[in-house]
Amino acid sequence: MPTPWMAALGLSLLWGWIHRLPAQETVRESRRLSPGALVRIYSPRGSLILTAGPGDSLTVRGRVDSTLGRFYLGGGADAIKLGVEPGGGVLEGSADLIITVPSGVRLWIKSQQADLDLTVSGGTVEATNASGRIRVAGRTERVSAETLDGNIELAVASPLGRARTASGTIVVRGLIRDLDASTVSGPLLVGMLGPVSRARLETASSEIAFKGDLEPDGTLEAETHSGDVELRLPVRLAASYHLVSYSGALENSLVPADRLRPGPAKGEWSFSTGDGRATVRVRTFKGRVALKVRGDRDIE
Amino acid sequence: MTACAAFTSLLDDYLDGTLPPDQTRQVTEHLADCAGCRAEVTGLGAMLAEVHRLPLEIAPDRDLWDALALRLTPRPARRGLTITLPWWGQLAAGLGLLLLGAGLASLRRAGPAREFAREQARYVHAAAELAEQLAASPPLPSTTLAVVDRNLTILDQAIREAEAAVERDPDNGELRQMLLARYAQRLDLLNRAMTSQRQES
Repeated sequence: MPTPWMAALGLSLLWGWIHRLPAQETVRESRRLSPGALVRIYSPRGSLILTAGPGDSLTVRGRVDSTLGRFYLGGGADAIKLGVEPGGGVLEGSADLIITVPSGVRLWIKSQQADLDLTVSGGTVEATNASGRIRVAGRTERVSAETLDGNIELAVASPLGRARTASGTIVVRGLIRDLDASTVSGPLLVGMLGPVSRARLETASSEIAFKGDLEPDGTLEAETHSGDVELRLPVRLAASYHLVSYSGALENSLVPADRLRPGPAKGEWSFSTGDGRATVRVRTFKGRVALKVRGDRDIE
Repeated sequence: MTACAAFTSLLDDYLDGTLPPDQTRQVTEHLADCAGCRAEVTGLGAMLAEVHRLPLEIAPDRDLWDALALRLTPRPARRGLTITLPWWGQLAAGLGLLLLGAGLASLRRAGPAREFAREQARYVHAAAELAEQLAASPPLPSTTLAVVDRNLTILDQAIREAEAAVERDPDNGELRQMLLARYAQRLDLLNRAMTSQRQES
């Protein structure tokens, strides 16, 4: 049976706990936007979920810890900026924002440690982070995602895409016709639903895996120091291949072995299939290069 | 055109003064008649002079590093975590290794090798400029510092391996390209860390 002094102790502990929680600002804002408007967002920590869809307005809901900073929103229908103005000093607390925007806006989003989850429709996306995750899904005219330590996932249809991280993993799905993706120590995994015109993939120590197809004059380049490279390509692809693995192995089940011609330098192989208009170049210092046939089930 | 091609490979040694006398005379006579090769020699001379001027080690003034160390080194954690070499320290060490290990002189002989030496010199300059900027910047947050540190270690190891391979196999153009790609990645990583740092501050 709780005695009065135990109840008092419990109440005082509860009071202390409540007062230790950071004060929070509740955010609920809405603004009309012009088609193709520029939307600039800065949110240093927490989470940001953005969805583009029909309509002509931007809405923001969420909460911001007062220890992190204060919410701001300004600008007009053609260009708007919003986010969290840090209070200064060490960043503490978080901001969780849920944002909707009209289709076709130009998004510029910056963060330090927030997880960014963006579902877009038309327009462009430029997202930069330090250690948070970046995920972009949907259709866009151009997408650029950059982080130091976070993972990047692009599940988009876009003519142009760029993704860079140091330690994180990059996963690209959908179809980006011109792709540039780079990590230092994180794996780089690409599965394309259709032919690409250019893909440049680079890591220093992690594997590169590409499943997809090239346009008739397309180019695929994979470069790594110690990572393995696995390319799954259609057997009918007409391309010139130039593969270098200085001290690694070459594993090939894509083309007949008698077509492989060793190049002049150590670990260098060249060959062509069909009219050879597309180009496949692989360079690794000590990783394994594997050329495999892409099956229909590889692309999901 | 054919005559120029025959002389191009001799220009490096001509500038170094290591050609035999008869070849030196032939090159001198050719240069008197050929404006294209004269321009090549002028450009090459400037580049080689620049390479020769590079110090064997690029390290800022001792006091500056000391001050920087105080600002960049993460504060010791309460549980006594080991502190790894700061990233700017690795940068300086990497530069030293690069200059000492790569052997610029031996790699600037042939045409492609000369281009490679130019690229290497550009890298050294860019890295030195970056070091200056870092010295003037506030410290990185410890989490970012750890990420950069970890990835610099990977890149430096890759650079060491590639440099050793280039030294063993200097005519292998693919190896040179791999090494240049790692240099570029290293600069890119440091640039991104700087950008991140500016945003945080």
